[in-house]
Amino acid sequence: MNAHEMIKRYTHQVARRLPKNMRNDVRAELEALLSEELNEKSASLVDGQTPDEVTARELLVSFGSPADAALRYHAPQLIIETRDSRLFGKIAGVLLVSLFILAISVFLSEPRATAEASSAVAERIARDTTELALQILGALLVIFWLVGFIRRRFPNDNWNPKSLAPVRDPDKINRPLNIAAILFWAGGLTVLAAGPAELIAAAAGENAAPAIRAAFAYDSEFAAERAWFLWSLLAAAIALHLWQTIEGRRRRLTRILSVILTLAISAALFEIVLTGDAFASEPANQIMKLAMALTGSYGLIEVWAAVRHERAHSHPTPLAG
Amino acid sequence: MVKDADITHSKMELELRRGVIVLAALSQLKSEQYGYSLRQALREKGMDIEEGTLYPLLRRLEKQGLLTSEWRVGEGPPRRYYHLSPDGKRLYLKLAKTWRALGAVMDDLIGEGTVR
Repeated sequence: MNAHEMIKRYTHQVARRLPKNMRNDVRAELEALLSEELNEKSASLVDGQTPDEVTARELLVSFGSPADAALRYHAPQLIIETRDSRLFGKIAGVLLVSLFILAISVFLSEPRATAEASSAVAERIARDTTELALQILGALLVIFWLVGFIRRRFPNDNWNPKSLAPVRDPDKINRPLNIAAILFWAGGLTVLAAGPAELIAAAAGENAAPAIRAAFAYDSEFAAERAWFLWSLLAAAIALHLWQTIEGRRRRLTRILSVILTLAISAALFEIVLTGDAFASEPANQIMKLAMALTGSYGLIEVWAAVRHERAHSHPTPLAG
Repeated sequence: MVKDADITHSKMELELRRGVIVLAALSQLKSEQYGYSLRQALREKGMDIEEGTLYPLLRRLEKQGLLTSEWRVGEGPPRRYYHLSPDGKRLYLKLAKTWRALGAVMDDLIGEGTVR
């Protein structure tokens, strides 16, 4: 490849990364300018010699890769704005981990007579899961792009320092809010531990429709063996929150205990999703498994964030005031 | 350690230069220039700007309405010539004024803080 051919290829690669309306123009200009630069660099060559490939390569390397050069001509619009990237990562992480757990759960629950059948099932589930994962990521990208577009289209010009939220001590507990949350969680745990079907029967008596009771009845194995372990972990988490609320602030010990409990709850939820059913009726069971997978995945992401936070803040920064 | 200091110096010098490249380019576009001739003009006056930085900059300044440009096909190869638009002239005068004021302040500051 001679030097001019190399420049031609380079400018083509730069131009194809630009918006259509500026491609031809930039390519023509860049080709002319680089050729002129090349001629200058080759001026020291002995008469009769043409610019060689090495000289052209040096020139183009100093100009930067086609992708870098194109970025200097045109800043493309972001699909996910920088300020949204953490939230995007968190939501995508929770959804993808849940999907992965649910896919394994489906695989484990599918009947497989032979090794060939097992392999066919695994292949089908892997294909369906990949397709669904891409759809989820695609939908998330569209949503985040739309949010960014609306933000750019209608910028908040009325920003006022008076509307700034007060600086909050992250370890300080908001007692009224925490008490409300604890009451809510305790109520939820009572419903779960007593059993939704039993509560419906107790509330409606003879009038409770058998179909509704059946829809909310626990799987017998789950109720007898695994449920109480999960309820105990949830009760421990509520007790920990109560302890923190009484103390009025989080301490390193309670933060670590919280991380351990969250991890244990996530593991218990995944174990239930993977190895059995929670409800006897299939629709309720599927919804419950989805909720458990999402909650477990969210817990895992929270644990990961908490561990990073704990490590980053092992040497506190002195702050004025 | 010395190598780290050299890298830091290069990075900071780059940052400093990045801040004045626009003003340097605008200063030479009171008369018409095409990319290569502008680079040569700047280089002759001691401001060597890499081609990969300067050529895209001209396009961006044009997009901002600070430069106008047109293709010329003469005896030599076709060239795109740029020069300051009315908005570009106004901006250049303002930036030049800011630069002179800033230069005076910086001279004072650097004079005060001479490292012995």
